[in-house]
Amino acid sequence: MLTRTFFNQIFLFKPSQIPLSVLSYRSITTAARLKKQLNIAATPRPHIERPAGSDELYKRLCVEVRGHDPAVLESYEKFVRLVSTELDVQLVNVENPPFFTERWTLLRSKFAKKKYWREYEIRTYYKKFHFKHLTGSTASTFLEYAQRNLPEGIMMIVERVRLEPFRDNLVPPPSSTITTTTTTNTATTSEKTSEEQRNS
Amino acid sequence: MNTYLKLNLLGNCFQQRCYLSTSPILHSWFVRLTNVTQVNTEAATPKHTRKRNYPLTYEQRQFPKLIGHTKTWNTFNTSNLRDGKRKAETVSDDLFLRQFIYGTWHSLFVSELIIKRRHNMIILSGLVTRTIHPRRMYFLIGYTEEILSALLKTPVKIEIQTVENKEDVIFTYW
Repeated sequence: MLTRTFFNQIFLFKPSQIPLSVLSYRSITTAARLKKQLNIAATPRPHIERPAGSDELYKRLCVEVRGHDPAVLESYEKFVRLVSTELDVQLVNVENPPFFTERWTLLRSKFAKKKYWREYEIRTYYKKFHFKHLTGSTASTFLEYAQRNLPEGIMMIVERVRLEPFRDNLVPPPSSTITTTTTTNTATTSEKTSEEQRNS
Repeated sequence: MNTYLKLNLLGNCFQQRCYLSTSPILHSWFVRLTNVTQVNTEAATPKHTRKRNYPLTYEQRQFPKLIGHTKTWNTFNTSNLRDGKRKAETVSDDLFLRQFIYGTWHSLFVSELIIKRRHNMIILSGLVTRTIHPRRMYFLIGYTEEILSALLKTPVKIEIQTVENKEDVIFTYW
Protein backbone atom coordinates (compact mmCIF):
# COMPACT_ATOMS: atom_id res chain seq x y z
CA MET A 1 0.00 0.00 0.00
CA LEU A 2 1.34 3.41 -0.96
CA THR A 3 1.24 6.16 1.61
CA ARG A 4 -0.32 9.39 0.52
CA THR A 5 2.75 11.59 0.22
CA PHE A 6 2.89 14.53 -2.14
CA PHE A 7 5.06 12.74 -4.73
CA ASN A 8 3.19 9.45 -4.50
CA GLN A 9 -0.17 11.07 -4.84
CA ILE A 10 0.75 12.86 -8.03
CA PHE A 11 2.79 10.29 -9.89
CA LEU A 12 2.06 6.85 -8.50
CA PHE A 13 -1.69 6.87 -7.93
CA LYS A 14 -4.17 6.34 -10.70
CA PRO A 15 -5.68 9.50 -12.13
CA SER A 16 -9.09 8.56 -10.77
CA GLN A 17 -7.68 8.47 -7.24
CA ILE A 18 -5.90 11.82 -7.45
CA PRO A 19 -7.87 14.76 -6.03
CA LEU A 20 -8.63 17.47 -8.58
CA SER A 21 -6.52 20.10 -6.87
CA VAL A 22 -3.36 18.02 -7.18
CA LEU A 23 -4.13 16.77 -10.68
CA SER A 24 -2.95 19.96 -12.24
CA TYR A 25 0.60 19.30 -10.98
CA ARG A 26 0.79 16.24 -13.17
CA SER A 27 1.41 16.83 -16.81
CA ILE A 28 -1.19 14.97 -18.77
CA THR A 29 -0.78 13.87 -22.38
CA THR A 30 -2.04 15.93 -25.26
CA ALA A 31 -4.86 13.53 -25.92
CA ALA A 32 -6.09 13.63 -22.34
CA ARG A 33 -5.81 17.43 -22.32
CA LEU A 34 -7.74 17.72 -25.52
CA LYS A 35 -10.38 15.35 -24.23
CA LYS A 36 -10.80 17.49 -21.16
CA GLN A 37 -10.97 20.65 -23.25
CA LEU A 38 -13.39 19.29 -25.80
CA ASN A 39 -15.46 17.75 -23.03
CA ILE A 40 -15.90 14.55 -24.95
CA ALA A 41 -18.08 12.87 -22.33
CA ALA A 42 -20.71 15.56 -22.69
CA THR A 43 -20.86 15.77 -26.50
CA PRO A 44 -23.11 13.19 -28.16
CA ARG A 45 -21.52 10.55 -30.38
CA PRO A 46 -21.97 11.47 -34.05
CA HIS A 47 -23.93 8.89 -36.00
CA ILE A 48 -21.97 7.79 -39.07
CA GLU A 49 -24.03 6.81 -42.10
CA ARG A 50 -23.03 3.43 -43.56
CA PRO A 51 -25.36 2.67 -46.46
CA ALA A 52 -26.18 -0.96 -47.09
CA GLY A 53 -23.73 -2.73 -49.39
CA SER A 54 -20.92 -0.26 -48.72
CA ASP A 55 -17.38 -1.54 -48.98
CA GLU A 56 -15.27 -2.66 -46.04
CA LEU A 57 -12.43 -0.36 -45.00
CA TYR A 58 -9.02 -1.74 -44.21
CA LYS A 59 -6.76 0.38 -42.06
CA ARG A 60 -3.74 -1.86 -42.58
CA LEU A 61 -2.80 -4.80 -44.77
CA CYS A 62 0.32 -6.81 -43.93
CA VAL A 63 1.50 -9.31 -46.52
CA GLU A 64 4.25 -11.58 -45.24
CA VAL A 65 6.12 -13.63 -47.80
CA ARG A 66 8.43 -16.54 -46.95
CA GLY A 67 10.81 -18.52 -49.08
CA HIS A 68 14.06 -20.44 -49.24
CA ASP A 69 15.73 -18.13 -51.78
CA PRO A 70 16.32 -14.44 -50.92
CA ALA A 71 16.89 -13.56 -54.59
CA VAL A 72 13.40 -14.77 -55.49
CA LEU A 73 11.91 -12.73 -52.63
CA GLU A 74 13.74 -9.63 -53.83
CA SER A 75 12.41 -10.02 -57.35
CA TYR A 76 8.93 -10.46 -55.90
CA GLU A 77 9.44 -7.25 -53.92
CA LYS A 78 10.28 -5.43 -57.16
CA PHE A 79 7.10 -6.83 -58.69
CA VAL A 80 4.94 -5.77 -55.73
CA ARG A 81 6.35 -2.24 -55.76
CA LEU A 82 5.55 -1.88 -59.46
CA VAL A 83 2.05 -3.28 -58.99
CA SER A 84 1.28 -1.02 -56.02
CA THR A 85 2.34 2.11 -57.96
CA GLU A 86 0.33 0.99 -60.99
CA LEU A 87 -2.82 0.12 -59.05
CA ASP A 88 -2.44 3.17 -56.78
CA VAL A 89 -2.22 1.16 -53.55
CA GLN A 90 -0.27 2.80 -50.72
CA LEU A 91 2.76 0.70 -49.82
CA VAL A 92 4.04 2.12 -46.55
CA ASN A 93 7.24 0.12 -46.22
CA VAL A 94 8.85 -3.22 -46.93
CA GLU A 95 10.31 -4.89 -43.88
CA ASN A 96 13.03 -7.58 -43.97
CA PRO A 97 12.76 -9.63 -40.76
CA PRO A 98 15.83 -11.80 -40.06
CA PHE A 99 15.80 -15.29 -41.54
CA PHE A 100 14.98 -18.36 -39.47
CA THR A 101 17.19 -21.41 -39.68
CA GLU A 102 16.54 -24.97 -38.56
CA ARG A 103 19.78 -26.89 -37.87
CA TRP A 104 20.76 -30.51 -37.46
CA THR A 105 24.17 -31.92 -36.53
CA LEU A 106 24.50 -35.48 -37.85
CA LEU A 107 27.25 -38.04 -38.11
CA ARG A 108 29.25 -37.79 -41.30
CA SER A 109 30.01 -41.51 -41.58
CA LYS A 110 27.75 -44.55 -41.85
CA PHE A 111 29.57 -46.52 -39.17
CA ALA A 112 31.58 -45.35 -36.12
CA LYS A 113 33.74 -42.17 -36.57
CA LYS A 114 32.00 -40.28 -33.78
CA LYS A 115 34.58 -37.53 -34.05
CA TYR A 116 33.32 -36.34 -37.45
CA TRP A 117 29.95 -34.66 -37.73
CA ARG A 118 28.18 -32.59 -40.35
CA GLU A 119 25.93 -29.55 -40.00
CA TYR A 120 22.75 -29.26 -42.05
CA GLU A 121 20.34 -26.36 -42.05
CA ILE A 122 17.12 -25.20 -43.66
CA ARG A 123 16.62 -21.44 -43.96
CA THR A 124 13.37 -19.52 -44.24
CA TYR A 125 13.74 -15.92 -45.42
CA TYR A 126 10.98 -13.39 -44.66
CA LYS A 127 9.71 -10.22 -46.26
CA LYS A 128 6.81 -8.08 -45.07
CA PHE A 129 4.85 -5.60 -47.17
CA HIS A 130 2.82 -3.03 -45.21
CA PHE A 131 -0.08 -1.35 -47.00
CA LYS A 132 -2.52 1.20 -45.59
CA HIS A 133 -5.93 2.68 -46.32
CA LEU A 134 -7.51 0.17 -48.67
CA THR A 135 -11.12 -0.59 -49.44
CA GLY A 136 -12.38 -4.17 -49.45
CA SER A 137 -12.68 -4.47 -53.20
CA THR A 138 -9.26 -2.88 -53.80
CA ALA A 139 -7.68 -5.21 -51.30
CA SER A 140 -9.24 -8.35 -52.74
CA THR A 141 -8.35 -7.37 -56.31
CA PHE A 142 -4.80 -6.45 -55.41
CA LEU A 143 -4.28 -9.61 -53.34
CA GLU A 144 -5.72 -11.80 -56.09
CA TYR A 145 -3.31 -10.34 -58.64
CA ALA A 146 -0.33 -10.60 -56.28
CA GLN A 147 -1.20 -14.20 -55.39
CA ARG A 148 -1.67 -15.30 -58.98
CA ASN A 149 1.87 -14.13 -59.68
CA LEU A 150 3.40 -15.73 -56.60
CA PRO A 151 6.43 -17.80 -57.62
CA GLU A 152 6.62 -21.51 -56.79
CA GLY A 153 8.13 -22.26 -53.40
CA ILE A 154 6.98 -18.96 -51.87
CA MET A 155 4.44 -18.88 -49.06
CA MET A 156 2.19 -15.89 -48.31
CA ILE A 157 0.41 -14.92 -45.09
CA VAL A 158 -1.99 -11.95 -45.10
CA GLU A 159 -3.13 -9.96 -42.06
CA ARG A 160 -5.89 -7.39 -42.42
CA VAL A 161 -7.05 -4.78 -39.91
CA ARG A 162 -10.62 -3.72 -40.65
CA LEU A 163 -12.45 -0.61 -39.46
CA GLU A 164 -15.79 -1.28 -37.80
CA PRO A 165 -18.41 1.21 -36.63
CA PHE A 166 -18.53 1.67 -32.87
CA ARG A 167 -21.16 -0.45 -31.19
CA ASP A 168 -24.12 1.60 -30.03
CA ASN A 169 -24.64 -0.51 -26.93
CA LEU A 170 -21.26 0.66 -25.52
CA VAL A 171 -22.11 3.90 -23.75
CA PRO A 172 -19.81 5.94 -21.48
CA PRO A 173 -20.89 6.06 -17.83
CA PRO A 174 -22.95 9.06 -16.63
CA SER A 175 -20.74 12.17 -16.30
CA SER A 176 -18.74 12.36 -13.00
CA THR A 177 -16.10 14.87 -11.74
CA ILE A 178 -13.09 12.96 -13.01
CA THR A 179 -13.75 11.08 -16.18
CA THR A 180 -10.38 11.24 -17.96
CA THR A 181 -9.70 7.51 -17.83
CA THR A 182 -13.15 6.32 -18.82
CA THR A 183 -13.45 8.55 -21.85
CA THR A 184 -10.66 6.80 -23.73
CA ASN A 185 -13.15 4.52 -25.43
CA THR A 186 -15.33 7.17 -26.98
CA ALA A 187 -13.45 7.36 -30.24
CA THR A 188 -15.86 7.27 -33.12
CA THR A 189 -14.36 4.21 -34.80
CA SER A 190 -12.68 1.13 -33.42
CA GLU A 191 -10.49 -1.54 -34.89
CA LYS A 192 -11.42 -5.13 -35.42
CA THR A 193 -8.69 -7.68 -34.91
CA SER A 194 -7.00 -9.18 -37.93
CA GLU A 195 -7.74 -12.24 -40.00
CA GLU A 196 -5.21 -14.56 -41.54
CA GLN A 197 -5.10 -16.40 -44.79
CA ARG A 198 -2.39 -18.54 -46.35
CA ASN A 199 -1.47 -19.29 -49.88
CA SER A 200 0.85 -21.21 -52.14
CA MET B 1 7.34 -50.64 -82.58
CA ASN B 2 10.35 -52.18 -84.28
CA THR B 3 11.59 -48.90 -85.75
CA TYR B 4 11.14 -47.21 -82.41
CA LEU B 5 13.34 -49.78 -80.70
CA LYS B 6 16.05 -49.52 -83.35
CA LEU B 7 16.25 -45.77 -82.98
CA ASN B 8 16.65 -46.09 -79.25
CA LEU B 9 19.50 -48.58 -79.51
CA LEU B 10 21.42 -46.31 -81.85
CA GLY B 11 20.81 -43.26 -79.72
CA ASN B 12 22.03 -44.68 -76.43
CA CYS B 13 25.29 -46.23 -77.61
CA PHE B 14 27.38 -44.19 -75.19
CA GLN B 15 26.05 -45.95 -72.05
CA GLN B 16 29.02 -46.27 -69.74
CA ARG B 17 29.22 -48.85 -67.04
CA CYS B 18 29.24 -47.18 -63.69
CA TYR B 19 32.55 -47.90 -61.94
CA LEU B 20 30.90 -47.87 -58.53
CA SER B 21 30.06 -51.33 -57.27
CA THR B 22 26.35 -51.99 -57.15
CA SER B 23 26.56 -54.83 -54.68
CA PRO B 24 23.39 -55.26 -52.59
CA ILE B 25 25.52 -55.25 -49.43
CA LEU B 26 26.52 -51.64 -50.03
CA HIS B 27 24.52 -50.10 -47.22
CA SER B 28 24.27 -52.87 -44.68
CA TRP B 29 24.35 -52.30 -40.96
CA PHE B 30 25.39 -55.84 -39.97
CA VAL B 31 28.32 -56.19 -42.36
CA ARG B 32 31.21 -53.90 -41.60
CA LEU B 33 32.53 -52.69 -44.94
CA THR B 34 36.25 -52.09 -45.25
CA ASN B 35 36.93 -51.79 -48.97
CA VAL B 36 37.84 -48.29 -50.06
CA THR B 37 35.40 -48.01 -52.96
CA GLN B 38 32.40 -48.80 -50.81
CA VAL B 39 33.26 -47.15 -47.53
CA ASN B 40 34.49 -43.76 -48.66
CA THR B 41 31.51 -42.92 -50.83
CA GLU B 42 29.44 -39.77 -50.72
CA ALA B 43 26.00 -39.23 -52.10
CA ALA B 44 25.95 -37.89 -55.66
CA THR B 45 29.68 -37.09 -55.55
CA PRO B 46 31.53 -39.42 -57.92
CA LYS B 47 35.27 -39.97 -57.65
CA HIS B 48 37.54 -39.62 -60.66
CA THR B 49 37.74 -42.64 -62.95
CA ARG B 50 41.06 -43.90 -64.23
CA LYS B 51 40.25 -43.08 -67.85
CA ARG B 52 38.36 -39.87 -67.02
CA ASN B 53 35.48 -40.79 -69.33
CA TYR B 54 32.48 -40.90 -66.99
CA PRO B 55 30.05 -38.31 -68.42
CA LEU B 56 28.49 -35.73 -66.15
CA THR B 57 25.85 -33.14 -66.94
CA TYR B 58 26.25 -29.61 -65.57
CA GLU B 59 23.75 -30.37 -62.83
CA GLN B 60 25.59 -33.55 -61.83
CA ARG B 61 28.91 -31.71 -61.77
CA GLN B 62 27.52 -29.34 -59.12
CA PHE B 63 27.86 -31.64 -56.12
CA PRO B 64 25.27 -31.57 -53.31
CA LYS B 65 27.40 -29.40 -51.02
CA LEU B 66 26.79 -26.52 -53.47
CA ILE B 67 23.01 -26.68 -53.06
CA GLY B 68 21.94 -23.22 -51.94
CA HIS B 69 25.12 -21.65 -53.33
CA THR B 70 25.38 -22.33 -57.06
CA LYS B 71 22.83 -25.16 -57.29
CA THR B 72 19.08 -25.02 -56.69
CA TRP B 73 16.70 -27.80 -55.86
CA ASN B 74 14.78 -29.98 -58.26
CA THR B 75 11.43 -29.41 -56.54
CA PHE B 76 9.96 -26.07 -55.54
CA ASN B 77 7.35 -26.23 -52.80
CA THR B 78 6.54 -24.60 -49.51
CA SER B 79 6.44 -27.76 -47.36
CA ASN B 80 9.86 -27.17 -45.79
CA LEU B 81 9.37 -23.51 -44.93
CA ARG B 82 8.47 -22.46 -41.41
CA ASP B 83 4.80 -23.45 -40.89
CA GLY B 84 4.84 -25.37 -44.17
CA LYS B 85 2.15 -27.97 -44.65
CA ARG B 86 1.97 -31.39 -46.32
CA LYS B 87 5.63 -32.31 -45.95
CA ALA B 88 5.35 -36.08 -46.23
CA GLU B 89 2.71 -36.06 -48.97
CA THR B 90 4.77 -33.71 -51.12
CA VAL B 91 7.86 -35.89 -50.88
CA SER B 92 5.99 -39.07 -51.67
CA ASP B 93 4.22 -37.38 -54.59
CA ASP B 94 7.59 -36.21 -55.89
CA LEU B 95 9.07 -39.72 -55.72
CA PHE B 96 6.05 -41.14 -57.51
CA LEU B 97 6.22 -38.44 -60.20
CA ARG B 98 9.90 -39.08 -60.89
CA GLN B 99 9.40 -42.82 -61.15
CA PHE B 100 6.34 -42.38 -63.36
CA ILE B 101 8.08 -40.03 -65.78
CA TYR B 102 11.18 -42.24 -65.83
CA GLY B 103 9.03 -45.22 -66.77
CA THR B 104 6.65 -43.55 -69.21
CA TRP B 105 9.21 -41.51 -71.16
CA HIS B 106 11.56 -44.31 -72.06
CA SER B 107 15.12 -42.94 -71.90
CA LEU B 108 13.90 -39.60 -73.21
CA PHE B 109 14.63 -37.32 -70.29
CA VAL B 110 18.29 -36.24 -70.19
CA SER B 111 17.96 -33.99 -67.15
CA GLU B 112 16.41 -34.41 -63.75
CA LEU B 113 12.68 -33.74 -63.58
CA ILE B 114 11.96 -30.28 -62.15
CA ILE B 115 8.73 -30.22 -60.13
CA LYS B 116 7.18 -26.82 -59.37
CA ARG B 117 4.13 -26.41 -57.18
CA ARG B 118 2.10 -23.25 -57.67
CA HIS B 119 -1.21 -22.97 -55.78
CA ASN B 120 -2.75 -26.40 -56.45
CA MET B 121 -0.97 -26.99 -59.76
CA ILE B 122 2.05 -29.19 -60.39
CA ILE B 123 4.28 -28.13 -63.28
CA LEU B 124 6.87 -30.60 -64.55
CA SER B 125 9.86 -29.48 -66.61
CA GLY B 126 12.90 -31.11 -68.06
CA LEU B 127 15.05 -31.68 -71.10
CA VAL B 128 13.94 -34.34 -73.58
CA THR B 129 15.77 -35.76 -76.59
CA ARG B 130 14.15 -35.74 -79.99
CA THR B 131 14.43 -39.48 -80.58
CA ILE B 132 10.70 -39.97 -81.16
CA HIS B 133 8.32 -38.37 -83.63
CA PRO B 134 6.70 -35.11 -82.40
CA ARG B 135 3.25 -36.65 -82.76
CA ARG B 136 4.21 -39.37 -80.28
CA MET B 137 5.62 -36.72 -77.98
CA TYR B 138 2.38 -34.77 -78.04
CA PHE B 139 0.54 -37.96 -77.17
CA LEU B 140 2.94 -38.59 -74.28
CA ILE B 141 2.45 -35.05 -72.97
CA GLY B 142 -1.34 -35.36 -73.07
CA TYR B 143 -1.32 -38.84 -71.59
CA THR B 144 0.97 -37.89 -68.68
CA GLU B 145 -1.01 -34.74 -67.90
CA GLU B 146 -4.35 -36.56 -67.90
CA ILE B 147 -3.32 -39.60 -65.92
CA LEU B 148 -1.28 -37.67 -63.35
CA SER B 149 -4.07 -35.12 -62.81
CA ALA B 150 -6.45 -38.00 -62.18
CA LEU B 151 -4.05 -39.77 -59.81
CA LEU B 152 -2.83 -36.77 -57.80
CA LYS B 153 -6.16 -34.87 -57.93
CA THR B 154 -4.38 -31.64 -58.94
CA PRO B 155 -3.90 -29.99 -62.32
CA VAL B 156 -0.61 -31.26 -63.76
CA LYS B 157 1.13 -29.44 -66.59
CA ILE B 158 4.23 -30.43 -68.52
CA GLU B 159 6.59 -27.82 -69.95
CA ILE B 160 9.48 -29.62 -71.59
CA GLN B 161 12.33 -28.41 -73.74
CA THR B 162 13.87 -30.60 -76.37
CA VAL B 163 17.49 -31.29 -77.12
CA GLU B 164 18.97 -32.97 -80.19
CA ASN B 165 20.69 -35.84 -78.39
CA LYS B 166 22.26 -36.81 -75.08
CA GLU B 167 25.72 -35.56 -76.02
CA ASP B 168 24.39 -31.99 -75.94
CA VAL B 169 23.94 -32.07 -72.18
CA ILE B 170 27.24 -33.67 -71.25
CA PHE B 171 29.27 -30.97 -69.54
CA THR B 172 32.41 -32.82 -68.56
CA TYR B 173 33.98 -36.26 -68.15
CA TRP B 174 34.88 -37.28 -64.63
